[in-house]
Amino acid sequence: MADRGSALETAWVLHARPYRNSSLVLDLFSAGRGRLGVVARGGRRNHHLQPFRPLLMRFAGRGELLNIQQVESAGSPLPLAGRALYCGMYLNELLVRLLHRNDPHPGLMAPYEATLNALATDVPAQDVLLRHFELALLDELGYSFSLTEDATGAPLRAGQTYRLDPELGLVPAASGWPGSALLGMAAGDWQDDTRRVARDLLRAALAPHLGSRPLVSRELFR
Amino acid sequence: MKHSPLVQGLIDAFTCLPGVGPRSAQRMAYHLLERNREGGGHLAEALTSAMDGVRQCSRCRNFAEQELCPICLDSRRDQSQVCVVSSPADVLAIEHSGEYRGRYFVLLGQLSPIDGMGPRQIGLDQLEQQIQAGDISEIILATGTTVEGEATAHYILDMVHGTAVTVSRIAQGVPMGGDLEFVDGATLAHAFRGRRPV
Ligand SMILES: [Zn+2]
Repeated sequence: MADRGSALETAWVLHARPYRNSSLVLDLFSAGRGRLGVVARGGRRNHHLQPFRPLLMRFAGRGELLNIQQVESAGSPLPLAGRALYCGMYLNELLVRLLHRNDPHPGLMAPYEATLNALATDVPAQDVLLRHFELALLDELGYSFSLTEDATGAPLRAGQTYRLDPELGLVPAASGWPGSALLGMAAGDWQDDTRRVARDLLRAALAPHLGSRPLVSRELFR
Repeated sequence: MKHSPLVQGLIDAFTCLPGVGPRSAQRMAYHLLERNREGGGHLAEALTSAMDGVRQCSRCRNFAEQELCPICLDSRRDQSQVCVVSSPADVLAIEHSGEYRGRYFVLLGQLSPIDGMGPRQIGLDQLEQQIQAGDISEIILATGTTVEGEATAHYILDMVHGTAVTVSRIAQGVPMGGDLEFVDGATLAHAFRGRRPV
């Protein structure tokens, strides 16, 4: 009989919550299974079971909450400190809020890991890393929109302003997002006002999928 | 078998305790009803009085039965030295270490966005007011070394930036990724002596 729980797979802890005396309920992001919930018995004494540490795990069981059969460290914990740590928490909150459990997103693992690794190297443009990740996430969830063409397929123009229609994409409008900044995003030319527009545009693009509850991690950035 | 309404109500009520599922709740209810009515009565009274009478200290957020808790009222303690911890259990652990003579600020949580815990939910606006009011000369961060503890410590460090308040952090001896309540007293005492400015 095939042992479905037998393979070690890459997984990251998104969130750990104490459960009973010494256990943890974990929200994980794994390469093969997407976001999943597991119970780690005695997990509060296992220092690996923290966010931002690459792990290899083997799971057992079925249903909503699986059990962890084996955990191995797959590298050193990422040294996220200060704002980089807030950024990491923001990524994790996004994944918990936007991914359904047991819905695999293999295409999202590489951007997630790349973003965390870049945050750990203390780059100055942390916001640009977050924008790239938000774009990858929207794309993976099927909510992406073109930054070079408007909803009719016409090329974006620097002097035009646009509004974002969640279904159609960018639509020319009398006021709204400036075309110059949108083209800057598409070209990877992150001038100050492009960064500001990108932050607000992607916040607006994510909003309909997040529902009415605001993201708490945004409050950390003072 | 169906329980009668009062018995079922008692069982349901016990399941609000951490780690108590329906089965243990039934055992507890049966035990009190069968063997220990007196104890059950005491429990009911103690619960009612504690739920009515215990509130949060208006200065440090720890449990209190008056406006201020005994530690905040104690004039022999240095009221300008503030140790920031996550929970009343941490206060107890540090008090047992016998190493500390200042007061506390109890967050009743840590910064944990996914749990809905932001700065306001853990009283950091209140701590900031106390810093701005000049009531605090030193802050000792004892928030543990989990990701949430680190984020909380960093946020407080940001708040203090540009004020005259000195900040130190207990570090030595507290294991990485460790929750404070799993640290033994000796380790904790050592950690306090070894705190460093950050
Ligand atoms: Zn107090």
